[in-house]
Amino acid sequence: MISPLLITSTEDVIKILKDSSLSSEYIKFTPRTWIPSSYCLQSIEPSSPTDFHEEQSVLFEIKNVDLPTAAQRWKISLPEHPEITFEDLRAGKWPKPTEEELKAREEALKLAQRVQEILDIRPLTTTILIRQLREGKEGSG
Amino acid sequence: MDLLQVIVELRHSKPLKLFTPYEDLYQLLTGKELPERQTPLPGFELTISEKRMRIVVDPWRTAIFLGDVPNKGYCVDNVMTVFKKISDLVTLPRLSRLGERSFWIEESELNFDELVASFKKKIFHPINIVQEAIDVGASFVLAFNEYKANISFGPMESPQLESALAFKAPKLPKVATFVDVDFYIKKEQEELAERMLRDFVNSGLDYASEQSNKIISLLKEGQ
Repeated sequence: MISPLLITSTEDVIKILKDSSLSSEYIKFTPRTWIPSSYCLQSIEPSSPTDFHEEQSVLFEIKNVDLPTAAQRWKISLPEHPEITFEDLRAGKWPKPTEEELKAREEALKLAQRVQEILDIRPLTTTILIRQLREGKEGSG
Repeated sequence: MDLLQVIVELRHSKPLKLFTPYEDLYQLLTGKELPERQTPLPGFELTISEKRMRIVVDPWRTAIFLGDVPNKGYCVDNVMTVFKKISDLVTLPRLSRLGERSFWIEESELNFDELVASFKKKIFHPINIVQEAIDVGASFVLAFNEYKANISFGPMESPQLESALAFKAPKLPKVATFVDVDFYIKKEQEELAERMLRDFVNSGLDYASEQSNKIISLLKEGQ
């Protein structure tokens, strides 16, 4: 990847990525603007980019440091998935359900279905609600 | 996309008091400003190798650099913890700029020349200079609410990727699309608040992730 170094205002104007969400209305460049060199991390924006280099710094280096982050405060303990950590869950890496968990879910669904049948629970739609209010009674409608 | 590294930087409107002790002493004892401005003391840079983290505190800015970012929460946690520790020691001056820069990569199944050709086809008009180019890159400045973002992207091979990173990554793809998002906001001497910083770090990473994914989708269309 080559890096943008200079932007001049008087040169060719080329519209790119038209009508895309990435569209930056115009990008102006000359052959001088783009150099085939290693990526220099320089920005085309006038202010200097977010960076960390500082020539006049006193440098220190250590191996590790204890920072009280959430990952240290919260421990996850899933007996079925001992390998899953707090960082995994936070990164959205949920464990795949085990065979036992799948069976248990299936049982729970069947049970819920039976309860629904026995109690004759039906969804409370607007039509049913209006009818019940009009007739002044509760019921299956 | 894989997030390779993140830099969060606070830029201050005046130097941190830590670095101007002579000016402060002079003013305390004489009640006057120093007749000639002294060069502030050198900055401080701490590298924590196992965490692949670097903390920079210099007269005009405070920055934290993360070379290992397993997820957004980890980044927010570390940034908040470090800035809290620093601000417990010294009052951070009002802000002039807040920036969050993140590097993202998407491994490519194409070889480098094929990926360059694909970029040329998707991003540029087929003018002479584009047709002849052996390497390409693109930069855009985008606006998002009161924020701005400088986004640069292009194909990279692993040696170039390595040189862009401050810490050696455990594993890098041979060829990848590299996306650099510098998300920032300029401030008019605004006081730093914990909530503001947390929201900024979260918004910056969400925005960068969204834009990087859009770029990759665009480049993969019709491949």
